Amino acid sequence: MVALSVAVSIIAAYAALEAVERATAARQRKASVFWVGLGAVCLGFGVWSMHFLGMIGFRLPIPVHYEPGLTALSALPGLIASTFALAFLATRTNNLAMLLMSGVLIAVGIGTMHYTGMEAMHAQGVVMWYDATRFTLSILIAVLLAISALFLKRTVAPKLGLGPRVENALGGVVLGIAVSSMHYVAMTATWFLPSADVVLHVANPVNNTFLAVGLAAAGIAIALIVIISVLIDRRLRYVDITSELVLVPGVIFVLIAVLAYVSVSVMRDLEERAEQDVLNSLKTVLNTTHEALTGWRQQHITAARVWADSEVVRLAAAGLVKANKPEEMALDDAQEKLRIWFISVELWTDYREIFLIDREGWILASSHNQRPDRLNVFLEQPDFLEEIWSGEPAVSLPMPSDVPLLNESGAIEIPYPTMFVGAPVFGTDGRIIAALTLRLDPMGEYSRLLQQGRIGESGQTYAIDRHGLLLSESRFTKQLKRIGMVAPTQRAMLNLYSTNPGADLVEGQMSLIAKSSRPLTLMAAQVSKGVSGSDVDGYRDFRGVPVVGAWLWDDEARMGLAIEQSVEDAKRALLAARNVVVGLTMITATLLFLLALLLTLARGRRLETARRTAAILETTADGILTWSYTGIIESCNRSGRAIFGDGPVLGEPLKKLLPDMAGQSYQDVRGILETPKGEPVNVRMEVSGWRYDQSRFPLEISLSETIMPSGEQLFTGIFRDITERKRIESELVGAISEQERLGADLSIARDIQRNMLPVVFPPFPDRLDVEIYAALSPAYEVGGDFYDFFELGGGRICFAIGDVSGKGIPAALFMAIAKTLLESRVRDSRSPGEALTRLNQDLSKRNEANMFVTLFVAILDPATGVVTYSNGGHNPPYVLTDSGELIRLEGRHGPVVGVVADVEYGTAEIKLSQGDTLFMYTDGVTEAMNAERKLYGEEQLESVLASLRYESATQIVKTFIDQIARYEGEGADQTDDITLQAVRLVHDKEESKVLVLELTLENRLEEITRLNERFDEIATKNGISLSVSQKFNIIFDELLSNIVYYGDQNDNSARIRIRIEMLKDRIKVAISSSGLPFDPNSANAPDLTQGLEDRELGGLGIHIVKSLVDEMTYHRRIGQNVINLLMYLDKNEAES
Amino acid sequence: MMNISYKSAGDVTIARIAGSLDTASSVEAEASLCEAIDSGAAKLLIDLGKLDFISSAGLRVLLGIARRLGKQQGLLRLANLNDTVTEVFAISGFDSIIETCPSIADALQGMSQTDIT
Repeated sequence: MVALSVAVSIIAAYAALEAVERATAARQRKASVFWVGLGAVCLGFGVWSMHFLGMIGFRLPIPVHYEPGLTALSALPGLIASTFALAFLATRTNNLAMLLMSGVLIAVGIGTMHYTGMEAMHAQGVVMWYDATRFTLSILIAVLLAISALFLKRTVAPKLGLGPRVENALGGVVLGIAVSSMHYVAMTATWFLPSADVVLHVANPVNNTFLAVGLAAAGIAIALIVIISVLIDRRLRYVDITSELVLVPGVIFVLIAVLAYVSVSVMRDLEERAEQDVLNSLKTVLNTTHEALTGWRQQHITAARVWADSEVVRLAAAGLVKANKPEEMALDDAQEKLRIWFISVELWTDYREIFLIDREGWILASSHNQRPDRLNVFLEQPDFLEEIWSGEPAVSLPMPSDVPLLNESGAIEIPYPTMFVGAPVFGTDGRIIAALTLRLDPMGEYSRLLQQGRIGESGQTYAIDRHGLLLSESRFTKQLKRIGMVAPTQRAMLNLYSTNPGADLVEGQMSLIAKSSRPLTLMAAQVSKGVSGSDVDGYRDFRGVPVVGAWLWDDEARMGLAIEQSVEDAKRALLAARNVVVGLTMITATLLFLLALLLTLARGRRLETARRTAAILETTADGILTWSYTGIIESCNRSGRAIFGDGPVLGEPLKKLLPDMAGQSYQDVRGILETPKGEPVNVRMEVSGWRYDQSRFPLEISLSETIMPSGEQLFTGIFRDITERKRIESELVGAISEQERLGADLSIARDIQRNMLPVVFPPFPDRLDVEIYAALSPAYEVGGDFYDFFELGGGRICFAIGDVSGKGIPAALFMAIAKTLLESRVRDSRSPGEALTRLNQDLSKRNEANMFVTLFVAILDPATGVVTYSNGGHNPPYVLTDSGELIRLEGRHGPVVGVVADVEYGTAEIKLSQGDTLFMYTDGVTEAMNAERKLYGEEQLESVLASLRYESATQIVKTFIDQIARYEGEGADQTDDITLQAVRLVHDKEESKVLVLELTLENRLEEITRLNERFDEIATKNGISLSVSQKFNIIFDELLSNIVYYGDQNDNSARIRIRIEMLKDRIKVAISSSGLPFDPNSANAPDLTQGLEDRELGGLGIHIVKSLVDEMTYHRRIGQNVINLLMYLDKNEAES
Repeated sequence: MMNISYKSAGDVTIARIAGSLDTASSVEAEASLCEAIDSGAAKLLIDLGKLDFISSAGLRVLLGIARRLGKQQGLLRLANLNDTVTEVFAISGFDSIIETCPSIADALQGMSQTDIT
């Protein structure tokens, strides 16, 4: 019982702390208040239960009962104190003063509860005293332990990192011990002193015990329910490890079992205790009754002795015995004297009919009957007289009187029970000469004493003789008469034997055994054997009613004394308590069972959810890791385990996997998170992970802190192996630096290329015989194109154009070598072919890189117009003659230069006329691609080149540069170097350009006038004749009006570009315009022979223009109609 | 830039066109000349001495005037053509359609003669 009480207080304390945990975790204030309230009820009730369980364990030799009002009230202090203390705990503050206060509060609550509860206890015949020192000690112990429990729970345990469960368990144990220590120390402080009261009447002793027991059971039940609720609340709040869910129903069933065990032991104890209580009270009442009866007997014996020894009696007796003849005794003086004395005694006492009898039973004297007679009544009880004759005074057993007597109500009753007290009368010689007997009314003091000794409703005391005959009146004679056990005119006393009818006659059952052959009841049987004893298991009394009883045999009084109480009555309280316990157990068990059922059902869903969650977590490509704030890894999904090399991950310290993350401890990780506790955080970082095999790899991890509803802190890291990403990154970095390096290369290569090429035009300003222009548009990644020209002796000029295989610095260097060598070889050689042959020899000799160059070399003698040239694998150049003929220099005089040694390169020759142009290019021109990836092509090149017949070398090159750029489109990467070189053999008369006018006109007629005015103005300045100006006015009017008419008049953005070159001997005009292709040359010539009426004007304008200019050509160039006009001045001048 | 001035010499209306007869001016020129014809100038002598050049647009105007006068049994002559205009007339074959005279006097002579006769 003590152990149970301690267990209850510990369980209650633990449950209360768990409830506080829930209160802290609860997000809503309502929920928080609910949990604090539940915890307080649990702790308060637990303390209370503990107290009463302790009190049940504490046995007093006397029956105890509790005052219900005060008992209920005693629960209050504990409840109030618990509420405050738990509310403090729920705040999670760490204030020391608050902690101390809570501890004191709890202790005071426990103390107050205890002493109030003690006051509620009433034990008859006992007075409670409290030892002041121990009282103080008990309070002190409670305070200290309560404070240390809170301190342990709040301050110490979290530092040890044991987790909330262990914290609560520790706190619960200490707090529970505090409660029970307080109780038991306080109990030693209590002294129970017997009071002076004599106990004869005992109220039903177990009557109130059941209250304590029931409430204690309720206390346990509440604690259990709180624990279960906490358990369930926590489980339902978040899906924990799935297996734990399996445990919950299991735990519940274990709890049910524990509950059942507790109830059974409580019941057993209760029963045992109840029996003990019953026995105690039976014995107490039996003993007190016996003592009282013995006292009563002694009193009468003493009185009888005193009178028997009195002078009067002794003298009279001596005289009467001498006579010894009954017939002579009739009117004896002595008799008369005695009779008077007897009567006076009767007057003053309760004795009636005092006799003096001799050994024969003859009445020597009496208070009533003067007639000498034998007193037959004593024949029934020879023992009584025998004892007197043996010299001892005695009290007889009740017996039926042989004469009618007045009963207690004054009526004459036959046979009225009677009893006597007698004492020997001694003669002078010391011998017993007579016996003095005094009749007593058994209905008097004797019956009063016996009937006083009763218990509860049904308990009564009996006196029986050795045969089982009832020697006392029953309290329930009426009932006995009703069931026919006693005849209506009879009494129970002296009429009823304590025999077992074998059936409950009170209940109306019929006895199958004849009255005369019924066995004695258990009690009577034992008493008849002179054995004292008791029975609380129950046996049938003479009515057949199951009773408990205690009995004794008083040999001196020659009577048995028994107290019996019906089992039903005796154990009514016990049964009630049992009902309460069984009921509570059943209800709790049912609730628990329902919970288990609910959880089992919920578990299915939870399991499903958990499985799904787990499956999701497991199959996520990212690793997901959780670890406790102690840095121990608690979970890791499959990807995570795979990332860490499939080694054991769970249970490992975090630092083993992520050593360079500071997160070895809670504080470190919190430090990383750097946010207030409980707020969602997310920190992404890159750290190095250590695989199980100690290899390292980079990983990216997102950290977050999760505070579980239980208050537990977990860290979650979602991470991925970023080895691949890192590799790509580093490759990228490498590529970038490579790019940077390459960029440097490119600029170096470009520098080499640029520095090697002659870029100042005109290169030979003094020379009027040739016009030279060249351009190189390098590709992004420099190729090895180059061009070159240099003067040789005799006014000759060498031209070269080449394309080195490969790109970048090597190509640029090779180009530089080739170019340098070429010049020297050309100067040393007689022909371009010889120069190429020697150059090829030089280059191919030490050409480990297998580079080569396509090369065209030409030497022009302007004086004769002769060009000697040699082509080593290069694109054939063109000659554009002054007359507009395009000659492709097809000849190939050897392979590309620098590959095959010992190759003879041939030389070819062509003669240029004045105005002819030698045009050279590299394949970057013909292989230029447009957006549709179509090559520019030789065909287009030839067509454009042909249209540039009247253009200078410079203009030709520039036109192509412009053309190719437009062809490739904006933003397109030029994939290869584009190199162009042109040399024009200038007319004798031709001088360098006088003037170039470029105009861009809008697409409207008014612009014609503006153009004409501009032209006139310049023409005047340049000494151009009026007639030429007028002709151009006409030409412009005709062509531009045509363009405007046929062009898109709605397109305001359309522009007409006019380029006018006024040379010394001619004027060249180029008109470009957008619009549909229109070749003026294709227009039908008008019939000029038609008369006035039939004359058609169509085509006339074009005809006039054609007639006015020396040449008019048309080209369609990239969406543009280009009309080139040429008018020689001398002819016109001459004509004018 | 074109300007036409008129004066009469007997029944002959002399229109002097100064500037150029090109696309820009031909519309105006045509309107002016048509107006003159409508107001009774059946014999029209156009003095081109001050005409810088003529384009096909101008030729079209002259052709139109010539046809108009031809329908009215009128008479059109051109006089004082400069080299360029002469060349254009030659190129376009207009010299065979419209009578051109070296001077006003020459032109008037014929016209007046016709009148007289």
